[in-house]
Amino acid sequence: MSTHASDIPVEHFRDYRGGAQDAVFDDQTVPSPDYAPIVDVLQGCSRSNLNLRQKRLDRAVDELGLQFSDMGEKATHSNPWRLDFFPLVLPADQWKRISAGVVQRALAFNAYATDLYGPQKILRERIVPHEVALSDPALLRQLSGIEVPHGEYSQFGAFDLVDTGGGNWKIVEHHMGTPFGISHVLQNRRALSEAFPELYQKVEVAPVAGFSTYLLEMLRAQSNQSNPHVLLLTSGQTGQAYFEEAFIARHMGISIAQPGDLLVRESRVFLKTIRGLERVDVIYRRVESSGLDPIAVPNRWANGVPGLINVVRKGNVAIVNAPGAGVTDNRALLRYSDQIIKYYLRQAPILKSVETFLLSDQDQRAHVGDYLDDMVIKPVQDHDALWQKCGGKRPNGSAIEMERLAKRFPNYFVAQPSLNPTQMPHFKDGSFSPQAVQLRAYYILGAEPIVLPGGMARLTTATHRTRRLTISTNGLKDVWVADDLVEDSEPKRRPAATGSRFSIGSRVAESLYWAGRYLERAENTARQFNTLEKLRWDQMGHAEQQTYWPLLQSVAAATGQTAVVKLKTPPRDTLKLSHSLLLDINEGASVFACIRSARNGLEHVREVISPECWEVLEEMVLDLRQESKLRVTRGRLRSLSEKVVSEVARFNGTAERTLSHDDSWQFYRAGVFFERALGVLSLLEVALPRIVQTYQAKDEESADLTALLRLLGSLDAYRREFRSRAYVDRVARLIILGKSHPSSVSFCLRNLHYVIGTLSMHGEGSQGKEIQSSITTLLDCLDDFSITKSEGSMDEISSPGYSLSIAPKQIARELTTMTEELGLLHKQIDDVFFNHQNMFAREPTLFELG
Amino acid sequence: MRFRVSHTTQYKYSQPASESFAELRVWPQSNSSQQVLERRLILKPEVVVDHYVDYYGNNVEFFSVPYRHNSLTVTSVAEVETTKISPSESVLTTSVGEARQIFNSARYQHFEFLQPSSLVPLDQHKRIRKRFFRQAEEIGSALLALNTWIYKSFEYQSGVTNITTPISQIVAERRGVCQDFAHLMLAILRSNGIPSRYVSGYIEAYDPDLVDPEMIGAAASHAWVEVYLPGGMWWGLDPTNNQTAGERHVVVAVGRDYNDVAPMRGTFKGANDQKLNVMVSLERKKEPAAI
Repeated sequence: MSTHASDIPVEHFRDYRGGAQDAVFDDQTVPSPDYAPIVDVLQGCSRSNLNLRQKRLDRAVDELGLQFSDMGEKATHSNPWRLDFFPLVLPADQWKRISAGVVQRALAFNAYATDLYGPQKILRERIVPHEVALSDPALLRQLSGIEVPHGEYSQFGAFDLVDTGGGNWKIVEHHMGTPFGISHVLQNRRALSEAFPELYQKVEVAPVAGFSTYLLEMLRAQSNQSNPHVLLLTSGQTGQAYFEEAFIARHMGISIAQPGDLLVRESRVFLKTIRGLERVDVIYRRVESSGLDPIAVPNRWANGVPGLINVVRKGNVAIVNAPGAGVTDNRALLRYSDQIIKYYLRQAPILKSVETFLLSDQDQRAHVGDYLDDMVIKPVQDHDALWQKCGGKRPNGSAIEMERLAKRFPNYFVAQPSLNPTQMPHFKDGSFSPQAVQLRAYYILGAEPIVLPGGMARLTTATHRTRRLTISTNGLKDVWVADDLVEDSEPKRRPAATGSRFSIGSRVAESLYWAGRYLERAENTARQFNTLEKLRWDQMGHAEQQTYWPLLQSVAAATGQTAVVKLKTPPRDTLKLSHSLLLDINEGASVFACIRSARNGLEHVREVISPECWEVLEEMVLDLRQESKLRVTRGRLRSLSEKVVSEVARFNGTAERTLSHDDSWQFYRAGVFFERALGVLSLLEVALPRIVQTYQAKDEESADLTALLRLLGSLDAYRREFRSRAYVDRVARLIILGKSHPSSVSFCLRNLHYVIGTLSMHGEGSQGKEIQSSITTLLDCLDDFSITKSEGSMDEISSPGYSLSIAPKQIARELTTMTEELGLLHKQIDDVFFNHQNMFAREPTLFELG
Repeated sequence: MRFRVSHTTQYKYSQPASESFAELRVWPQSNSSQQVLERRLILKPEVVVDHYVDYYGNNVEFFSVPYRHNSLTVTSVAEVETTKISPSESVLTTSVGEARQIFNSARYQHFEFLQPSSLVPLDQHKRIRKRFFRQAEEIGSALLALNTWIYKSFEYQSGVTNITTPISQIVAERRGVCQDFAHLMLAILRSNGIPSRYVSGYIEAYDPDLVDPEMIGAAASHAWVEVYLPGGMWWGLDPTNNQTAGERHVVVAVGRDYNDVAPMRGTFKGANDQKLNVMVSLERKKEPAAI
């Protein structure tokens, strides 16, 4: 017996009663040798230490979970992801059987899919009843006759297993179509090894992090191009599935596309990118087969990429997993898994399925009826097509509803006995209690199949979840396999020499551009509002209010509240206007609306946004939502506007530091500069003509000119530049032409010019040049402005009674024209980078020779 | 008989459309009762066309027009030689009971032609279903009785239904077009355990040699039904015209329901108020004189 001097060992497991079926303490006192090192480490920790570790772990997954918690309606988001620090250990003999059995089963069921979409020998020979196979809602006749390379319908998949006693693992479910959860596996390992490194000190645990590299290599191996263009196809719905997709894509360095980002042309599929259409070679599919192509498989929503299946048919794109792979997940087949393995591989099955009853069969149905309380009823597939056949609606997942549907549509349901699988310790509220877990094991096929040494363990649940791309994340566990059991397999393909990089997708570029615009607009409005508030509007006399009214109007105008511009005198109560500028979600350009739009736009391009940036943005939205529910007071609006200014600055700083400064970053900056130029112009358009109208050089400081400078954050710059009080033409010159002044129109346009120039564009590169030359033209126009040209001498402009010889109307006209020109520039950016008409607008023009 | 078939589909867009993609099933098939002698597809704007044969043996063509266009015209022209093939007397006099046994022993082969589909739900309208196909009846006359019953009980009226109109509404309102009658007939047949499939094609409206009542279904695609008979023949029945499909029917495609054979299915980007124009003509040709 050894004790640590500093830490008094606690008998954490003294009261633990695992029962005969416990994986760790089957004889109630001594842990099995595979778990001994873990129990040892835990015994060396005090209870409070364990609590601390669990807290640390909770905090770590909360941070990760931030990224996939749905913003939802609840202001306080709760993250269901809980990771238990007691890992599941797979002893050598069990691991060997599981890894061999997983590969065997994957190969056999791929052979089944190939057969089903082809000659259907297994049905003709009546090994599997044809009704079971042919009434599978995942079977799509449209996919028959399409050749799948090596017959590997599912190259990346997973199985759910339970230990039915003494390490006898059996298969409960297949996830060969679209396996879910790999991101949790990788992150659970990282979180646990950071929160509890001692656990990993006594055992050499096989690493799991390399799995995403194997996945990428497998995807790249699908194409014989030297640098194949691989992308991940998502439905674009946010939530758990998207969180995982963004994670995988980021880890593999591939881009994410939604169906609308792809285009079929002459039997090839292309990604719409900022430099035109780029051919796609490999698609990692996270969309149901039935949602891939609305022409091949008509669906109510016309989801998918029209024509994509024909591109596959022609062999011009590889899709992983192959369309139609879902037939291997048919739960009714679990009853025939032994026969299927024997039939195709002529091998004895290594892993059995748990007992599965088909409700389509009268006798089996009767049996299930007799033992209904001990059964879990499941649909044969989780596809939407199945629910359409069963009344049209996806059930909420309760056992009662599932039973009701199974009675009405028995052909589409199976039952499995509720199992009493092996249990193991689970730490909660300071002590360990026995809990049953199930294991999800992942594989990648190919020349050398790989089974992920580890997997995902989670508490078993009594009801069936109807959404395939989610899991119950409560009570996850890390899964250990000893490192020496894993043979290193050679990468399928060496990483290709980099060099030709792929352009970013148009949707990504567009989202970032708009995020830049929205955030800049929000920041402008908040800052300008705050400036005006600091002048203490509510304490001004009427005459004074009248003086500043144009400025408030111009701020309102810049946020699109045009009705306010027409009011000659300020309303008695400006609180309502202030509130709508800041918090009215229905006012398209209010601060809240802008920040929410930025957030919603970036939500779909999370693969290029760092978690740090996302967190800042998410907090801002939560804050504003909270504020919008409170009673409006001036003080509150004032501090809110200050907060928005500093938070947007924090976002920009975080982005600068944590985002990769590639094309997507440049589009964010393009949006910022464009919006700033536009904002300054719209403000001037309303404010300047009015100021000029009443302008007279006086001895005392012109209050509205100083206020204008303040509004545009330009007062200090003015003082530095001119070291004089504010004169209208100098102010105009600084704001419009200021060379190094970040709030000047010229500065913004020159930066926009630069940003466009940095985009990695070859091939269709001349289009970026066209935009640049449009910007140059705009810059020339700025120089020609009447107000910036009129350069009076110091004596002239400062002499009392001096007024400008330029009519306010002309100034207004020039500014309006400029704003319109800027609008055209936006259209040009839109056409060239986002909607691609330039590239296709090459219809042949016919002409006749005279 | 020899026909020159021409089928033109034209879309005119109010705003320029882009990213058009379409799949066509307008290529008449060659089978035991008809031979396609010549076939052409003409597209405007002119783009590359690709093709494949689908699960049901139909010829499918597809193409994309990625750039902006104001209209899209698809013309399929074919020359087809048809012959009349009739099932033998012994097949038609088989009893329904016997035929059912034969079908049951080969359920696997005809599985999808016995199943419900999204447009052909089964096990509705029990009273109608039970009126037909008594065990002792002859299969041939039972099928013709169903064909005639639909013809007599339902009014042909275009414009009151579309492809999404459910069969229950057709039954309630007793009117519809050829597609509706075909789907209804399939529902009754499949509910009775008789394998049957949907046929799209064309019909010659006037017999130029005879003074004949005009047949319904011309000037557009026509639709009817094929029933699998004991012995292996698919027999065409046209409930819209109370006829068996003969020399004046040209088969284009077969499937479980309309969704499997839609003549043109496509998508495009643009304003959603395109004008559609369909023209079908069937011109009887002089057959070369036998030497």
